Amino acid sequence: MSNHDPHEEMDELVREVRDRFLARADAEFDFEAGLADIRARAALPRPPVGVGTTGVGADLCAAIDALASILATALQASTVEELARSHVQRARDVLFELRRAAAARTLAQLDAARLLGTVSGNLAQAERILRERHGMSLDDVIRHHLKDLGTCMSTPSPSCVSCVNRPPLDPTPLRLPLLPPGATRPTSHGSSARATGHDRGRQAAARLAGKARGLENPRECAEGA
Amino acid sequence: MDEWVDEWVDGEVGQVSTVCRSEPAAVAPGFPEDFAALYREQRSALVWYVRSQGATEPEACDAVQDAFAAALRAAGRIRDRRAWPAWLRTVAVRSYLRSVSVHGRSREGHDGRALSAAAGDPAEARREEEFVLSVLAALPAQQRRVFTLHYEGWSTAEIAVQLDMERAAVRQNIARARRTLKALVTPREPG
Repeated sequence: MSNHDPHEEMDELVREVRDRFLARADAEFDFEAGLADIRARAALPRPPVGVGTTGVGADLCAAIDALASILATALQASTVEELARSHVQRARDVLFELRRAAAARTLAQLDAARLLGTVSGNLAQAERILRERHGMSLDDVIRHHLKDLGTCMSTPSPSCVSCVNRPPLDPTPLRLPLLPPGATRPTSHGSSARATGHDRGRQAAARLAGKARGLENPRECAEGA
Repeated sequence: MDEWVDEWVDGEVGQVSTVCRSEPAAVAPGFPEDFAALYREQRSALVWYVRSQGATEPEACDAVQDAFAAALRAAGRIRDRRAWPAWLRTVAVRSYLRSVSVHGRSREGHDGRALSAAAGDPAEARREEEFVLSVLAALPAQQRRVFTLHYEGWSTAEIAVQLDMERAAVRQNIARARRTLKALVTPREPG
């Protein structure tokens, strides 16, 4: 008796198309703008300063969101084999752990460094596997997959791995919590509002290590604005 | 849309809200931090879900934004974190159906083409995406709702609770939907 399911092909096709749709939607969508639209539709005032949507904690969360989105794109790529995929998945999981701690204002500098180390270690492992077995970097995989999805990269950018690994990235280290209430911190968020998801991810990744290292104590996440 | 939220939260939509009330230990997403995570996690899947009900991309995106806005307003009233995906799908589809009833639109039918491999060709991939969505949208309403949840990985039991159906009916709808889909995507022999 054959185990062949005549509907298997159909299931596989629908799932494949759905996965592709989700990857494209995640990569292209501006989640920050979407959240702002939701707040407007809900007719709710902007959250008060220091509760997670403004300041350094919010910057870090946004940077993590964007990088996680890019890594999700890598996970969707068929060229990423299981072992490399598991490292990328682990890096993404730890990023969310970092995000939760930042949002809950319980992120100490040592913890941030430890979590970032885990992220960068896993990304480095994934990169090594991909290079050894396919001659491709993680960035190559992401770039090719985005191209398959019809999403263009407008600018070349440094690799995911180096973004997380490099020493504090901001030329002027963050000073926390010095801005007075109501003051705005110049960030790249505004200027990147129309960038593709990939661009935002790259910019976010580039800020990630710097933001995390800028957290001196748990309160800073909340008081950064 | 608020009245839908009230209805849903008050239990008119089905059993999920009842489940929420019966598990007071669970907590609603903390806002705004968890809300952003919920949005990032669910938004694209919701857009797909609403699109598979026949919505165009702009209609689906609009309905999903409405659903999340309703979620933001209802944040303190649904306590079980696990209830949010089902809740959001219900509210998003209602938002879409309401906009259709208010503004009206003609649903485009699919053209009956056979599916083709789209790997490596973004334009072809988008066409294939549109085709699969149009075929899903062409299913009878109940089959469509069951089937799209099935493809999202929901179990038979979860779908049964969400749509207030017997499990056997869920399985039957999945089988029928598969047969319908197969008939829809198989190219007709020239007569």
